[in-house]
Amino acid sequence: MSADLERFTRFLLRRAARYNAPPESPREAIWTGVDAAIRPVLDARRVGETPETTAGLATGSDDDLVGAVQDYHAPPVTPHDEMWERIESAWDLRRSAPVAVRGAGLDELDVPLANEARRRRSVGWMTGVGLAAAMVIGIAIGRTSLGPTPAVVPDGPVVAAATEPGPEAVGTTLSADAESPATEEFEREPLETALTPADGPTVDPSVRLVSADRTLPEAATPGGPTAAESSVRRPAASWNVAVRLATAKHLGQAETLLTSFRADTDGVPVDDGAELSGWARDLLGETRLLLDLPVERGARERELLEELELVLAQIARLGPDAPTFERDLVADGIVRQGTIARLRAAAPPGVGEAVGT
Amino acid sequence: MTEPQLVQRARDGDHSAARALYDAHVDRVFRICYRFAGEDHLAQDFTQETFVRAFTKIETFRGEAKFGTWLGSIATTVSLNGLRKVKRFRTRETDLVDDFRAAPSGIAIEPDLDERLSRAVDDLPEGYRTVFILHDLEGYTHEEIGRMLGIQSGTSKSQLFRARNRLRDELSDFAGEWAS
Repeated sequence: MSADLERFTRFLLRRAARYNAPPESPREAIWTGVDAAIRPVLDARRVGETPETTAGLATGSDDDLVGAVQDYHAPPVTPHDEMWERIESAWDLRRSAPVAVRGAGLDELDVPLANEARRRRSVGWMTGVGLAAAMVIGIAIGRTSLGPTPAVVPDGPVVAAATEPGPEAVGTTLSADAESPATEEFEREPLETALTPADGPTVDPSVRLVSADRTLPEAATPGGPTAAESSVRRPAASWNVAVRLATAKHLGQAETLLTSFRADTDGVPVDDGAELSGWARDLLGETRLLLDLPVERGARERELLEELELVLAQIARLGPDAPTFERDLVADGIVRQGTIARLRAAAPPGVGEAVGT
Repeated sequence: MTEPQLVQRARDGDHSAARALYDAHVDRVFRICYRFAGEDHLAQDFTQETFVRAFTKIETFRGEAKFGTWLGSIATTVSLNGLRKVKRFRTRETDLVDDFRAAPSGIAIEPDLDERLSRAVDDLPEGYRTVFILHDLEGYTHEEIGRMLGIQSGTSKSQLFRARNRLRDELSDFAGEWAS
């Protein structure tokens, strides 16, 4: 086998040289673009200015042009007070939901990450709005795709009840109110569709649908699901579809980030270092939102999300000037855990792209 | 003038030093970009972006690696990021085009070896393809690739091993070509 690979490698090196074989580089053409872009930067360095100043761009006959374009999208006076009020109110809301890193041995990450999370609160809001939009779309898809189906009466009774009898359960036990308006609103759906394991919880985490356990005593109308149960089960299914889509989309984005992170340069503080950290922070907030959603997940998915949270937290902490060994540590951890492969398996290409993108 | 001196002068805003560094490295950078992109205009864009970034951030070059390796790492990052954007755009385009292309009679035309090889390299996972291009096609060492991609040289080796294995599997129809 290895001899075969050796032979193949020799063949490959000979043959693959033609792969995307580059022509001679058009160096003058490229230099024109490079020179135009770096000239102001180099000029500013020579005279000791900061390269970002517009003065560096204003050279010779271009003065008039630069002066003229100053009005283009000219920013108004910054509304400091108005923005600060919004920031404060958002901050207060954010503080009411504590930020914490799950998992053992992460205490040292809590403080900086909480600070980071607060700094990124506006992004968190946007993420929340995005997720909510995805879920609304999911619910709409769920409602339309499931559609009215012929009434299917299961073999045995399916009971809507609280998981554990207790005071809080009594209050939330679904009653079989045949007169409920929800009766007309939702049709019953096949048992196999409605009662998949992931469909367990409803929007209200204290309410559970007890499904396949036919040994339970009947607590509702015998002979089939109650109208109230149907009315709860349909939104629950839609909710789960929406959460699954949002999760798949999120995992796909995380996979792209981790792949970029691994391919990114080491110890080269170009813009991407900061971009990746910012991106990781955004995804970190989204990961926490997903973890906090009242939905029942498979153990594997939850474990993956928790591991992702840790990895994203690590990447978020790395700035463009992070030492090489720190980046190596994170990258090695990703490789060792096979995180990227597991993300790919959990979110195959295309899954979730239909929503929100 | 030595390369570190040129770098220092470019840091201080010397155009001629920047141009000298550009001249010394543009071919290598363009080759990397072209290998990844496979298209002239994209390769030119990526090359330009590489040098603009490099000269804009030249004060962050600490001289731990060779300037060429540093440029190579920027070129790789710029190319991969650029290709991701292009791919996202093209995937949508391809979907549309595919809708119009109906397979007429199911007759499969066997492409020749070069075409199959190109497609197999294109289809490699990004990490495998990157290492394969940098090592087997552009001649960088595993140590250099490790520094460029921020991975251990051992990781680069294993990526290359897997890339070659996958290519061999993909081209198993042509086993006679290398077995003979």
